[in-house]
Amino acid sequence: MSKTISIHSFRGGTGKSNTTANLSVMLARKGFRVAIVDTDIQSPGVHVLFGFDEEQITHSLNDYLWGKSEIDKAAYDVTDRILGENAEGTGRLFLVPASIKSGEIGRVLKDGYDVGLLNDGFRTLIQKLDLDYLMIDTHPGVNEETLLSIIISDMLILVLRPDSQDFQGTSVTLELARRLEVEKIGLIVNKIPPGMDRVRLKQKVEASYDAKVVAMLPLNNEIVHLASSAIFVDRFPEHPFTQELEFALLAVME
Amino acid sequence: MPTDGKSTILTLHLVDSAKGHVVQTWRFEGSSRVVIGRSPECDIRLTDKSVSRIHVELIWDAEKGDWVLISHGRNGTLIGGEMVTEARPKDRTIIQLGPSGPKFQLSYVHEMLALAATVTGDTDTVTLEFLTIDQKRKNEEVSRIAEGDAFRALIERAKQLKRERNDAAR
Repeated sequence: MSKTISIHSFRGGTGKSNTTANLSVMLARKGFRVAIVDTDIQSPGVHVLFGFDEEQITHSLNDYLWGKSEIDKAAYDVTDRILGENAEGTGRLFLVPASIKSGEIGRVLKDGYDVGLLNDGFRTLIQKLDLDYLMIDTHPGVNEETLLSIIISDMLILVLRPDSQDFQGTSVTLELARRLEVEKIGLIVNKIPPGMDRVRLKQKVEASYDAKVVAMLPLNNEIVHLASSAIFVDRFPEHPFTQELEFALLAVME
Repeated sequence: MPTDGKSTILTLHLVDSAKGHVVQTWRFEGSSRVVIGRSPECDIRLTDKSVSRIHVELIWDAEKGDWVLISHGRNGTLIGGEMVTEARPKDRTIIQLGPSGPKFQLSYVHEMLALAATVTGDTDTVTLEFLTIDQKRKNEEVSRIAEGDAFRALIERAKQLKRERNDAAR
């Protein structure tokens, strides 16, 4: 049976899309069939990590939501692009990008869309692509689409930075997720600055939220230098960041 | 900067008040006096106008093995929200230069401890006190969202969607 994982954060800039992309690549490398859906329609970004530009995206999630095409038409097989010969046999990775055309983004902001349709789309993807994992890269904050994505997920991963605004905002998101009876919640603390005591930080986060921290990711200069031009775990397989992300992967696969 | 050859290392982290991140770090090895202020001769020179030319002086007390803080600043110096003129701040104490001025976290370790920390890969620690949840605010925000009709309707709809999804998976 497939699993749906929502990766969310209270604010933008937490590294949510990067986390989604890297975890998805790691899953595909392990031989799973994985799809990422970029539901951050207002500020799409995950496509960049897979080397897509506007011209290469001929079909997007937006087309599906406006009834212009089937959702699987917008699922790009990026396995060869990312994994090359590293995939273990059956592993495949698909990406359903959101449109990066400003008119399309404006339309979503103006008209919204039917969240039920989004859920139907997820189901179609799982069936047609025979997925093991559907990874939903959500829009930051709290809105209807996000809450729906969260509630239909088997696991919610909340990404936060160790700063006071994220700390407060995440507590609200987490409480709402609990009221929505999300089955499993994992926290990823990202962009931990040098000098911060990781052990104490982990204890503090877990105690404050009564939730499990599944990875503690350091502020990562190399990821900044990559400037979203590649998937980090592919470029730096031995890096401490990659190794720490393995813990999150284990939690996802649990 | 005079040194007395004693084996202490003083580290001062300038902390971003809003985000809690360390903005800049100064490290003094073997120093017995460190001065913070706007004056060019200060060891840590700041440009913030609320800071006096000589605002804080830190003097190493070798006998007791701690640092003595003397406040000279016009706007005073605060530790734990209290104004101090002279204090012996403990390791990891936060000092603030004036009621709305810059904050520093002070930490000092002895040479052997510092060496051990380097070997184990540890670094100077930054306080995590700024990571707090305002429960009252949280509850208000959660109530505002969760007690609305839209949220209740969403819960019902989502439950239905979940049922459909589970049925389809069977």
